[in-house]
Amino acid sequence: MSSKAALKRIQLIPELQKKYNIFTHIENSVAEKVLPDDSNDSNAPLSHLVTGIKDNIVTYDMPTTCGSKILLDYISPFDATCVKLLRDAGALLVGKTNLDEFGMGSAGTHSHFGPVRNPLFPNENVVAGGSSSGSAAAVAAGAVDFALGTDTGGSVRLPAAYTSILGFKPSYGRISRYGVIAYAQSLDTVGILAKDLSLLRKVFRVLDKYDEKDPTSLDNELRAAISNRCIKRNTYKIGIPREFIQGSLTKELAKELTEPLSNFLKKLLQQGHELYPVSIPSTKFALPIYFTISPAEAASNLARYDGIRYGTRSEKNDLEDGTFFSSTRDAFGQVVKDRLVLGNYSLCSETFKDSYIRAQKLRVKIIDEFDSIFRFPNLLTGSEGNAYGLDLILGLTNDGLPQSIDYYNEKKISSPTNEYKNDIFVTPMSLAGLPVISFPLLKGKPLGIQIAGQYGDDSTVLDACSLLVDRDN
Amino acid sequence: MYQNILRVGRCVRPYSSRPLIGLKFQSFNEIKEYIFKDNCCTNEYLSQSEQAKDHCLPVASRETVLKLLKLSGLPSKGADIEGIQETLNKQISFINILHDTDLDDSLDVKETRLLRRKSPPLSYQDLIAKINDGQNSDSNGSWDSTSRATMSKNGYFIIREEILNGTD
Repeated sequence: MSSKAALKRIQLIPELQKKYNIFTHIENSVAEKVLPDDSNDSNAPLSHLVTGIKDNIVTYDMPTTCGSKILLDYISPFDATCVKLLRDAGALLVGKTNLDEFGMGSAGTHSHFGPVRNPLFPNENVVAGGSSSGSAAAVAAGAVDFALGTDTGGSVRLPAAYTSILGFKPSYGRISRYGVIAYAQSLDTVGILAKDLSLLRKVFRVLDKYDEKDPTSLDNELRAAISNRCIKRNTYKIGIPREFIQGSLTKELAKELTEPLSNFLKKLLQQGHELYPVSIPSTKFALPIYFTISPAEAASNLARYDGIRYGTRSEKNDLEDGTFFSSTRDAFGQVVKDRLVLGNYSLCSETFKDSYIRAQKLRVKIIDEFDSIFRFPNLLTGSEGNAYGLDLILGLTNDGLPQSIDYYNEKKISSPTNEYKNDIFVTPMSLAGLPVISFPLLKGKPLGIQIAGQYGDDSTVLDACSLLVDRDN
Repeated sequence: MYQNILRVGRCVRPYSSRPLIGLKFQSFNEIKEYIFKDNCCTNEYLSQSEQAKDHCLPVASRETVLKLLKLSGLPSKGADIEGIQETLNKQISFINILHDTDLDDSLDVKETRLLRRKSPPLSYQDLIAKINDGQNSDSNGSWDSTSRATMSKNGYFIIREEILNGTD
């Protein structure tokens, strides 16, 4: 990339912001940081590449709000490790991208800064997907070359599918979470959104590093062991889980999908890949597991927003109706409040065993079931892999087309669980920490296909994607 | 091992409780039939079977909602308690699907964490190397929380200065 191309993108940003509400903060001085093409530092791996950072990843020179009123004035004293690595590699940070408050949402409509609009539909008010809504819209609109998002239960892949770009969630622990504001720490994973796979891989190479500051970071010993077991292949054994695809198509989606999906599958066969039907039965429970575990973790993580440790302290009393800091915490949006209440319900002694513990056990079952179908070993669990198993699994990312913003506002009134269903195909891989990439089935269409590999086998997922993504589309 | 039969097309077997890899698709038509066959629906995943309804989580009463608001540090004064109760009960009904399966008692919740299930034992040399690494590292990701204490006794520390005194 050249300095000219970088400046061109930066100049587009104010207009794109007006149209799509992509950013929560724009760094106005970034144009001054663009290095001349002949500068020594312009050889850095991400030099002249413009990026946006999801606003739940901390930056020392820009606010970090999590899309919430409660953190409006917060500026972190340090950079997240992933941000520091990007800066060191020469990337130009143009701003912080809009999101569902604290990452809680799948449409990009629950932000204090208002909903993000989908650049695929410039003349309509269509959602961009969430929670990394601004990151996906920034890439789709051409405001940035790539963006960082976070994927707790599909929050990178779903907006990538809705905006027809690439969204990669690496294995849990590959990219440091240090400086990522926790929503559900056992699931939160930094992901990369881009249009171009080679660029996405370049960014991943910069970020895929052990970080001693993150206790869940994949250590160097395991990274090396995984790397030693990786085998580069030209053709793959690919499973199509019935739970991710069969009978899930609405009439509307089936009509849209039949031709492009058929062409895509024919291409897989022509390339020599072997396709198998597969059933991973416990993935049926992925959504209720996710919506038990993640609110419970959020209830704990968001306890720190009391106006003293974090958050803007309310000017009213600290103690109201026998509850400390409730007037400060009233600044949370309704969706966050609903999930905190649900999280505490699951953690209560009366329900703990039947709710939280049950969900945890089912999560273990899902991990074990994935282990039993993959050929590659899982070095975390100690599974040696199934000698007759699969290299990859493939399915849809979204089970429907993105709807209008008004539709979500109306649906929300009828039931909060209506929105949860958007995550139906994306949560199973999050629960097992698997690497997975969503790519558009057809250029410019909001339909995503996702391929996932065994834990740690990120390189196979990315290698396969380079064969499967249609460069002509 | 798991190369068992999961038939496709018209002969799709009923829901299995074990993961199965079926026989390789031999033609595009087999794949098409498998994918577009309407033998189950994701909505099926989101409803609970009649048998499991006996083991449902308890519905939240008004008192429970008030308790949960307090636990969540959220105001109850002026809050729409009935609205919150209705939302919570819809959420509970949604997660009740967890009761739609039998669980093996041997499943260990500690294995939920996406970390090594079994860490290799540390040798004496490993321990010495870790100590040396820690001493040489400028930053170990933590901070000395007791460094500002001017008094300490029996493992307790007293910080008399403001904790952020002298910082930006």
